[in-house]
Amino acid sequence: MVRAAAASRLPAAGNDPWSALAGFRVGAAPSLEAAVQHGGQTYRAALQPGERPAPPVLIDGDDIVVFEAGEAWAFTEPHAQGLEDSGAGDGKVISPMPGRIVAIHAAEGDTVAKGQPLITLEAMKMEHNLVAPFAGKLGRLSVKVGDQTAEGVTLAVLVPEG
Amino acid sequence: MIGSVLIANRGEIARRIIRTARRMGVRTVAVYSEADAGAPHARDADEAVLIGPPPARESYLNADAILAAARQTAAEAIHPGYGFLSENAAFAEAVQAAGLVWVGPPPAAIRAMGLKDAAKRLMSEAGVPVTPGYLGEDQSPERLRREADAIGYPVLIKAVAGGGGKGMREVGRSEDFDAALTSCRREATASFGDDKVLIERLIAHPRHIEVQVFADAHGHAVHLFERDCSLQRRHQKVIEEAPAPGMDAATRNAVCGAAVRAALAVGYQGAGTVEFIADASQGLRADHVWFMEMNTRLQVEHPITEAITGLDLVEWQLRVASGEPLPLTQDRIVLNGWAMEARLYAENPATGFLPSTGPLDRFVLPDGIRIETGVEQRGAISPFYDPMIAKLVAHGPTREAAASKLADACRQVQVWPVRTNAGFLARCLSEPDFVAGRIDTSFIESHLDHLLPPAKPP
Repeated sequence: MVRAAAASRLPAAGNDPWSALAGFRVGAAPSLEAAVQHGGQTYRAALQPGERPAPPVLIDGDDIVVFEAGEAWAFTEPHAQGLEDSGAGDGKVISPMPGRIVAIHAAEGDTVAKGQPLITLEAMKMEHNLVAPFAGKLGRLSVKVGDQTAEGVTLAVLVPEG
Repeated sequence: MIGSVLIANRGEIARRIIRTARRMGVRTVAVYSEADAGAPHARDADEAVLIGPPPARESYLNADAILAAARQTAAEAIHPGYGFLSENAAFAEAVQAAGLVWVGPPPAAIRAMGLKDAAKRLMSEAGVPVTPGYLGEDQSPERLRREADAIGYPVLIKAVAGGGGKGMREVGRSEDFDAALTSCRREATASFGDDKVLIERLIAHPRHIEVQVFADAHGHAVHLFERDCSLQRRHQKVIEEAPAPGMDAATRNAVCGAAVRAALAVGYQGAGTVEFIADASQGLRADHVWFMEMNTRLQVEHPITEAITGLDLVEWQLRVASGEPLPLTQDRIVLNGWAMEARLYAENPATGFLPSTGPLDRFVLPDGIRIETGVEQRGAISPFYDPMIAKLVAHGPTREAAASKLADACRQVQVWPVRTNAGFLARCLSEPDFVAGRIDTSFIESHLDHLLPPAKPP
C-alpha cells in the first residue's frame, strides 16, 4: 500500500543516466527511500530504483490514490499541507457532504450543549445531523433552511462559553 | 409485440431495459431530468426527452411530463422500472387511460398489495401463511394467553403504544406468560398511559426470502425460484443471492407454491416478487416461513434470478404486456448453479456510511462478470437520486464459486474521489459466517467490526 504510493513518486526507469543511477551505492544493492503522507502521518518505504507500484495508482491533483481490495487510499507528498482541523476544535460546523439544509435547530446567540443537534443536512434521501462539538454559544449561522451546500463549507461557528 | 416503449426511469435500470428492448427490435424512448442531461441512459435510447428539473418530484415523479413525453414521441408503452412511479396505481391507470400499454401489473393488483394489512388478510384467505400474531379488542389475560399458545412460543408481547424498547417482553414458555404480561402492562401504563398489547411470534433469526413470480393475461402463473436478501443495512439490501442457502426441495416447493397462489389471488400480471420472512433458528422450514408483502414491480436484484434460470425478465415483461402468454411453463424453468449480486453504493463506510457525491475522476469496474451501471468515468454522482451506482453480478456452479468470484470482482473496483462500499462488500463476501451460509438480517450489524475498512493504510 504505502510502497505503491511511494513508488508512484519515483521516475520511471529509463535511459537517463541520472535516474538510472539513483540509489546506486558501491558494493551494495541499490536502495531508495520515498515518503508519503496519509491522515497527517508520514510513511516511508524502501524501494528499488525504477520500481513501479503493484496495485493501480491514480495521480489526481495533489492526491496519490492507491486502489487495493476495493478501498481507495489517498496519499500526498510529504511537503504538502496536512489535513486542516476537522472542525471539532475550532468550533466550525462544516458540511461533511453536499446536500440540502432541511432543518436548523438553534439560532445565532443561542447557548447549546455538547452533542446538541444544530443543523440537519439531507442528501440522497438520507438525513444527517450536525451536532455541537462542545458546549457554547452559536456565533454565526451562514445558512438557512432550503439552502444547498457543497462539501467542506462552514455552515456555522460555535464560540466556547466563558 | 409492442413497437416502442418509453422508460420512465433513469440510471442502470433504464439502460438494462433499453438493452433488451433493442435486442427485440422495440424502439426506445428515455426521459431525463436537467441533472441527467447527457447521462448514459439518455444516450443509449433511440430518443430522449427532457422532463424537468433535477428534483425527482419535478421530473421522474412528474406523471404529466412523462405522459406528454410519450405522446410527443408516439411511444406505445411505458415501462416504469423500479422505484419512482413503478408502484403508483394512479399512474398506471393514467397510462392506460391515455391508450398506452402499462408494462406492469393491473392497477387493482398494485392497490390490493399496497395496503399491507389488507394484503395479509387476503393472503391468509388464499392459504398463504402470514406472520402469526394477535391484535384484538379482547385484552383479557386469558384470551391473550390462549392466542400466545396458538401462535407458538417464543412470542413477543408489545405495547400497542410502545416504542424504544419499552413495553416489550419476550416469552419463551406458556407458564411464563401471565407474569410477563403483568409486568409489560405495568411498564406500558407508566410509559405511555395505555396498557393495550399485541402479541406476535418472535423471530429470533430472521431471513429475508423472496420469490420471483410471473403471471400473464391468460390465467397462467409461475415462479422463478427464490432469492435470499438477508444481508441488509438499515433495511437497505446489500448482497442478494439465488437460490437461498439451506433451502431444501420441500421447503422450496411450499414457499414458491405459496407465492404463486398469492399472485393468482390478486389477479396479478407481469413480474412480481412475494416477500417472506423466515425464522432460521432451526434452518429453513416450510412451517417457519411467512408472507410479508408483495412488490408489484421488477426488483433491483432480478439479475440473479436471470443468472440461475438463463431467462431475460424484461423480455418476459414486454411479452406479457403485449398480451402474449408466458414463454415457458413451470416444468421448463430450471435452476442452474448459484448467483450473487453486490450493490455498489456511493457511500463511505469509514464515516458511518455517509453518502458520497461528486465527480468520477476514476470509475473502473472489473471485467468477467455481469455489471449494471448508470454512470461512467468522467461523469458524476449527483445528490438528487439513489446512492446505488452499480450492481455486480456473479454466477458460478456453486455458492462458494459465486461468492469468491464476486468478492474478487469487488476488490478490483476503482472509484475516486467518490467513495464506495466496494471494500466493505468484498469483506462481507469473505467473512467466514457468510461463506458458511450462516446469515440473517442482523449479519452486517453483528459483524460490523470485521467489515469496516482499516483505520490506517495496511
